[in-house]
Amino acid sequence: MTEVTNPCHYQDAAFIKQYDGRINRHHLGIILWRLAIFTAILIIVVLVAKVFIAVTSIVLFIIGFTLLLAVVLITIGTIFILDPNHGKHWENLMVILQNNAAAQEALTKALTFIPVISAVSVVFNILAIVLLYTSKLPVRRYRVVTSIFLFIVNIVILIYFLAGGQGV
Amino acid sequence: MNVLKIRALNPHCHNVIFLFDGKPLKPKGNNMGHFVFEYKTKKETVELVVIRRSGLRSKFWLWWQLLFFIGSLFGIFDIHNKKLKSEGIYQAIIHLDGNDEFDLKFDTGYPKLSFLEITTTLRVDEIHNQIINDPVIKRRGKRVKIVKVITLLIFVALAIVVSVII
Repeated sequence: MTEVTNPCHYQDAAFIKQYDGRINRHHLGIILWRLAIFTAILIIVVLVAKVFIAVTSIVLFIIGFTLLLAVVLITIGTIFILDPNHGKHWENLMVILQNNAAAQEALTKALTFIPVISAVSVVFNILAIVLLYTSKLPVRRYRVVTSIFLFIVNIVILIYFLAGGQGV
Repeated sequence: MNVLKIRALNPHCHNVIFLFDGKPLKPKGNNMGHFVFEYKTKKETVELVVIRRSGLRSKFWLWWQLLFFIGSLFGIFDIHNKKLKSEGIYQAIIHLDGNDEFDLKFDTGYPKLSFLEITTTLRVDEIHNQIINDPVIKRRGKRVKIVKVITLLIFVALAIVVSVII
């Protein structure tokens, strides 16, 4: 790489500097879009786990729910360490998974938070779309299309649960 | 009326600005994931400028980077692209002659130390085509790394304090 600071007048031109804000908005938009996808996947995983446990064996549920809880509780849980007994999370998880009724109860609790997660996802989506479009930098079309798709799916889930469809 | 068609073959960077005669133009995507620009002009020549600017150039660069770091859950959902911190500039005068197709690729390393690789049959007078290695950006990049580590440590310490109090 060459040691060049200002190769031409464009690099420090005032009208180029105005793009710095757009670059930042674009970057933030992409992060929010990823968060929206993450929360949407979270909803889907919990819903699928709920269906599995109701219909088929506990083994399928253990695989999905362990993965979900291992990632969410143990990784983020130990970073934030809000619970003084955080070291016992793994033991608690095993105790919960040992019987079907306790697992069902844990999932029902998780499902009560789905409207909140959906609302967060919807907000992330709206912000991501606004930021990506106001950035005026090249926007990948699939990203906007997925945002809109997630937005609609989340609205449907949100209405469904707020309308009292808690018992999946 | 001359029409210049430009295809960017690997447009993975989020901080690249395209200017045609000093004016920005919105690209269209095609099925292959390329960006396609169509620039209409009455002139015989077009001045093309492609600039990649680092996110660390903005006014509140440290605050933006902190926001990205915390907002992306400590970098988990952040863009992991080294190219976002590197900069480059391409400036050229393109002479139009009816068969006006122009392909460009980022960071191929050919020609050596260049920002863009160009494939075209048109006559192109290159003025700049280089990766910029600005010491200011390098220094800011190091500072951002240090601030990220400190932020993470502060959050962990806060969490421990909160857990002890509760």
